[in-house]
Amino acid sequence: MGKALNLRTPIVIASGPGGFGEYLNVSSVDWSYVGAYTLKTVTLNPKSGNKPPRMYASKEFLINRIGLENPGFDGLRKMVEDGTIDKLASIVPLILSLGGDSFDEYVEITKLCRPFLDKFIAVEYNFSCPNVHHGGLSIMVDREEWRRLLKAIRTETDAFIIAKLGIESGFVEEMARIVSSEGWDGVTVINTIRGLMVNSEGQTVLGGLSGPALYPIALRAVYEVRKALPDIYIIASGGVYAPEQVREMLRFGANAVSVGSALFHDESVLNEMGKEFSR
Amino acid sequence: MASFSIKNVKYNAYLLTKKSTIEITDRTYLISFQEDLEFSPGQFCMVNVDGAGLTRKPFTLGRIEGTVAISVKIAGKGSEYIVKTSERLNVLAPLGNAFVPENRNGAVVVAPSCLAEGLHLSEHFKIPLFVASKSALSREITSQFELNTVVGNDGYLRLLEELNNSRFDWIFVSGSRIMEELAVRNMPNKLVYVSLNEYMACGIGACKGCAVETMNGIKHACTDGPVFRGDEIWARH
Ligand SMILES: Cc1cc2nc3c(=O)[nH]c(=O)nc-3n(C[C@H](O)[C@H](O)[C@H](O)COP(=O)(O)O)c2cc1C
Ligand code: FES
Repeated sequence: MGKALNLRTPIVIASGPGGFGEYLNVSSVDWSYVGAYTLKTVTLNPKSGNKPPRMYASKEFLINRIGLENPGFDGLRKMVEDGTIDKLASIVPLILSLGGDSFDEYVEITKLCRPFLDKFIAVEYNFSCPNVHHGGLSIMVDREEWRRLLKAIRTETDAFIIAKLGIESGFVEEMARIVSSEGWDGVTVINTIRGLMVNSEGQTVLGGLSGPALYPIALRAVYEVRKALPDIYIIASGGVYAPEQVREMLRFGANAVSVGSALFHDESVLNEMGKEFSR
Repeated sequence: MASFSIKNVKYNAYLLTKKSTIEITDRTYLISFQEDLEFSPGQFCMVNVDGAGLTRKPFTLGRIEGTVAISVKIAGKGSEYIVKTSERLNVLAPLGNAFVPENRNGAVVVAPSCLAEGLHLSEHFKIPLFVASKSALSREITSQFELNTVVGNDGYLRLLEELNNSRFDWIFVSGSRIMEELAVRNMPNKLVYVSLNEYMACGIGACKGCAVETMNGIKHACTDGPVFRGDEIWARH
């Protein structure tokens, strides 16, 4: 049996839509129903993100091209030093999400974060952001280099580490096999998929697709990874908006289920999702 | 670089019951609610549209006769739902920063889609209100409120010229992006404030989707605004 996170409920806030804990200020959510809150991906250097406009929603999907706007390692360290991280973690367990623009950046930020990784129950590595030119999705293109990176990160930390995988760099179960064989504890499947839409002003918008349209694809990914790897810890991500979908993801092999875009519709759905699992 | 401090605030989700829905002009409505809630001039709310859309929609807040009001232009399924439903609306509020002008020697210019906010600012700061509309306002509205209205683009440009030469120190403009940009460019003598209407998904600073390019780098309409100095967004010529 692989290591497990033992969350109080299997409901997890996805990296990105939940920012750096802002939803903890919304009074309609009972956080005892939420198992963990993943922070937005932090990279070594701060990123100011892509040029606006950055986001559109249709009835079935959202497209975003945020471009990993984040305060960088220094910003994260500040949140640790000023007590923000402790304060958030006292309400809900936190998962740290890390990203990078290159092999060295992933390793470097891991080293830098080591002194305070015990404040987080796990570290998720974003290998699948479609909205940045380097790093993100593109880090997995060279399979051998990516494998070396997984190995390098594993030797840097004993933390519970999770690889967040997309489906655009090969069969997701094959990617998960590589993650597992390098001694990692879990995978999050999936991330947004590259999408295109024409907005109401006639502009072509390229970005990552999230929301309801993603659900069956994410469910299949969970199913395939579980079939290939009975022991790996799986966080499901993609288009989960209702308690039935949480149950279905768990039934097909997820250990936890993350909620992202659904927060924008009504964050109080977390209560309905978490209720049946809380002890 | 944008700021990342997490504000020490509570955002509440309210269920608001409609009191009245009045047509302001073509496809634009003034909705007032039975409940009141605490907010400051310039702040906004995010309204849930149930099955009609995936994200809440942002609206600036106003207060009419002691209760909360918003104005809504029907632009798609979500706004249509907000206007037509008889169900209570799930509303996250109050969001964004209060508008705090340096003095009370100002004026407010709004499009019909921001009338609730305009009425509130005008009453709160005791300053004149101008409504710039594409088409005439409904009888129901003009009989209920005393409004200075200009109709059409030419009327709007004449108003801007007048205001540019007026005694006011500042002008607050809330409407479409085009209307706000015109105001900034055509009132070079004045300090112009604009209330931005960027697409918003969360309204609370989490998603980074509402980014705006300013003279001082990327900012976020929901947490740094929604009110900005016009010359921070558009250069004057
Ligand atoms: C606005 C937005 C920002 C996101 N930012 C990140 C991010 O920083 N890191 C990451 O790993 N995933 C990010 N994602 C992907 C989500 O974590 C999630 O995997 C994806 O949206 C699919 O789930 P959903 O349909 O529940 O949103 C982002 C998604 C959205 C919509
Ligand atoms: S709307 Fe989400 S950060 Fe502003």
